[in-house]
Amino acid sequence: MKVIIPLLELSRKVSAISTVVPSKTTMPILSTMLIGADGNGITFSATDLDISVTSKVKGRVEVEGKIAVPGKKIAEIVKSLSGDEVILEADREKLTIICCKSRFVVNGRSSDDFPTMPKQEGKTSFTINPGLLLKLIQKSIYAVSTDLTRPALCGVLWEVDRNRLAMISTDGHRLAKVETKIELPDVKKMDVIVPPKALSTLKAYAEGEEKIDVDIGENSISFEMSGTSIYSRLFEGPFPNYQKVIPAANEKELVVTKSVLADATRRVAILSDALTHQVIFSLDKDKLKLHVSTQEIGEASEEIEASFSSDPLEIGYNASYILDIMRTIDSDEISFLLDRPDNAGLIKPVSQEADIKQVCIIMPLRIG
Amino acid sequence: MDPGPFIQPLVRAREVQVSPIRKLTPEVAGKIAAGEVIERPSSVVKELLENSLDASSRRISVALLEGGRKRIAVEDDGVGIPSSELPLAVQNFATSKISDTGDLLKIDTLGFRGEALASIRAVSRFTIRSRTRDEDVGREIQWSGNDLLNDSPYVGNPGTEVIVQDLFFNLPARLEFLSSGTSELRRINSLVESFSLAFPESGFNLIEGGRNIISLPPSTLRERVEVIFSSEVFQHMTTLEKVSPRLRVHGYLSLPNITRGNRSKQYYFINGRLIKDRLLSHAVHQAYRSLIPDGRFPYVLIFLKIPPDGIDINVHPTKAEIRFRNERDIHRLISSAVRGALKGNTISFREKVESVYHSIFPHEQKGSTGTGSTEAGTTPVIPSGEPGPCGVPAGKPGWIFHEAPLSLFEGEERADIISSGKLYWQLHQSYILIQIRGGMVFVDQHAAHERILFDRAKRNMAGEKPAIQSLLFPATIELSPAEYERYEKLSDTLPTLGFEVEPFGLRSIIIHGIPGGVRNWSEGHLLTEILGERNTARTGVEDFIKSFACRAAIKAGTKLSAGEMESLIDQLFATEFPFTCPHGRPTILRVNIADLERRFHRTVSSER
Repeated sequence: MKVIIPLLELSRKVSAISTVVPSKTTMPILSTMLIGADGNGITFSATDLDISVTSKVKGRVEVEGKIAVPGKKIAEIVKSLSGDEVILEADREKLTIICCKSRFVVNGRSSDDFPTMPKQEGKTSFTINPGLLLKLIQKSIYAVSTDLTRPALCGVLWEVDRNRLAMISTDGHRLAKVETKIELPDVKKMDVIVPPKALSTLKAYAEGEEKIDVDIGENSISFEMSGTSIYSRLFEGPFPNYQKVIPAANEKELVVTKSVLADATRRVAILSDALTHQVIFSLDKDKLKLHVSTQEIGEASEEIEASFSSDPLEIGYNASYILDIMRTIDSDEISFLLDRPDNAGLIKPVSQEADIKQVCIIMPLRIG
Repeated sequence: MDPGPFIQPLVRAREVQVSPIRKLTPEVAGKIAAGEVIERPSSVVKELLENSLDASSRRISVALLEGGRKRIAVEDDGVGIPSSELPLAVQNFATSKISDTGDLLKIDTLGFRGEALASIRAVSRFTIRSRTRDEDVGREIQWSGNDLLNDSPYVGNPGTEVIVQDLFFNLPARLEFLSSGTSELRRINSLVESFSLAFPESGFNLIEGGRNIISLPPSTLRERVEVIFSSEVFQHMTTLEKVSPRLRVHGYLSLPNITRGNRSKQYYFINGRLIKDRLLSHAVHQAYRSLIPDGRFPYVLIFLKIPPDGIDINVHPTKAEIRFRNERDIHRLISSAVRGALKGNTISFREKVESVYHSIFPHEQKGSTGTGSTEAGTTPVIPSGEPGPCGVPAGKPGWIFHEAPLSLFEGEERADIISSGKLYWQLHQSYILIQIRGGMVFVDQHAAHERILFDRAKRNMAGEKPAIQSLLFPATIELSPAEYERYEKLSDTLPTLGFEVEPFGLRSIIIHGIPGGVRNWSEGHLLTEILGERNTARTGVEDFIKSFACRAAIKAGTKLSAGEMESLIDQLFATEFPFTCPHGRPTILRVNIADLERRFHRTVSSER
């Protein structure tokens, strides 16, 4: 194999794909990335068996062939190079990298050992605008659980239907739900749970793409873009019945400027209890007071202008949950719908974007 | 019923042996009574030392042959016994210390029963010689058992000397049961040590066969404690002092980093009398609970001063047991005094370890085994189960790890850490490594979080309101009968900690909220695990809290972000006892840069 690749192109693609290469594995071949050159061009591939990525790299193929080489090492070398073009030349087990006067010979492995990319046999598929998809992901991924004893909660539930796509995640303390009206005339209705790593990898490649083809199978999902294919296993369900925990009758509405609430929360939380991050929200007529009081540390409070017209109310929340939500909302103002201090609160943007409907549910962290 | 021919002869034999009841001769009665007081050479020494101390002696010398089996001589410089009273002193129930039963309720001398000298005399070849300061000539009397051998004037130094030879020569049965000379010597040695703690203002000598075993000049309590517990241990000790209207407790305690495998260095004195009492030792251990591992024991020296009418010493002739009129008050007082002393010391504890560190491990390393203080908490440790580094077999000291709390986050060192860029490293997703001046420390993330949660739970139990994280999806869990029983027992405790839980049908419970900051909730699995713990002996609330803290804490193998690590360390140091987890294992170990350099065979540089 012999290929010539512009350095800029090479370093961008290699650094993206190296994130898929597992740093620890019991199968040495997985710590490699596969470089291939044939009539269709040059591709780089990596996999940890849960997720696989193949990415096209622009360049000139002089001799076809392929080789598996240590992924992290190659990424490090490419990152260190300076010059315009890089020549990659390989025999069966050695890769030579030449750039200007630098020359590296890296021991590789036979490409035969590298796992073949799984063939996606989709049950349904649709095409979506990358900007919209990434927005949906950003607004849902933050509430994913890290408790591996319940894998279903460690992923994002996708509800795909003919006229809507919804993404839901929850860790049992909060829940994120975002949906968009979208005409997907050919899809079959499906609910699947997508691992967050697949979504963050997708984010790394989706920029600059014009469309993404999504293909969903029984146990896997794949994303096809102009230069990149991503394949990931799905998590097994069932996902809990989330609809019943979304409060429908919260009538006490607090409206507040998002950035003001976020800044104030961040400030008073400095003195919050390090274990619980509890911040108390005291609501009174058109007034929101945030305060914390932590034994042996101190206390902080801040008053915020807000619109509120119900009876005074005091509710505690985990400050980091509040901040997570503020980060995902685009609207300048948020609406916080409350009920009793031990019931779920519902936060949503005041002005919803035309095609996206977002709600955030947060459970209180109250004083017993 | 006829018992049958086989049994009959036996029955008859017993009938034949029945003798009429007779009053014992004074000799036999004396020997029986003596046997109760005088069990072995050390009991002789104990009785004689008590007499010497009651006689306000400044110097007391105990000289032994064969651990006292052959000869015991106790000589003092006390007030002495007037010649005219000396014969009386060795008679039964003769004492100068009480005169009527009313006095029994307010005993403040060590001896009082009037049995000691007579009892010893009855079972040995016995010599007593004494002279008061007012007399020019004292008196010396010799006995052999109950036979008077000699009675003559004595012109030695003022004071009293008692010589006991051939103990139990007339009680061969008792003689057979005596232990070896060395084991008797060990008992007497520890006896003299304990007396010396109670009476630091007196000097003590113990001599065996001409060899000096103990030689203590009159001193202060502090000096005496330092000698008896060794100066190395002493540096890890704190004082204890608490006064209530009728009681006074004072003494010395080892900090939780110094423990022993047994109780042999625990001394409890009530009104100057050494007592083995379960109430007191229980109170002390309760206070140390969760600070030291199970099966380890602190060094303890406690003096309890209590009005004589508050206790009954006259439970047993050896006076080693005691009864309190108000056990609960005393238990509470001792426990809170100990807890207070340990708590008051967490700050200076850090400083102490810092300073002790250098006295035990100076830069001129004595070698990794150089401390010799296997009892001390600063003992070199190799993490168990792992082979030692550089081929040093596990179990042998290799790296010197110290359970070493330092002034970790005092300004200067904090600045040092920050200047090095990265603050915290996580090793094997289990330990947090922090560079500090002069070395590094390792924090066990699980143990640290366990301590934090345990502390929080204790504060909740003491009345602090818990923060409850409400759950979006209430968890319903089904319990076994045993688990449900335990749940019912703990149904008051659970809400106190922040669990919002209620029964839900037959043997099921539903949980709406959990304590804020808890990990490993696993949809209720956490609670099932705790309720299902099989160790039925440990079902108390404290054990529940320990178990809760352990299971709800971050597990080894959990990846932590830099922020999480920092927060964990800060929280750890905000707890009352940051250096051990609730089970008493250390949370922090230190490796000194000097140890590292020695391992690399570098010449040890000055501390950086």
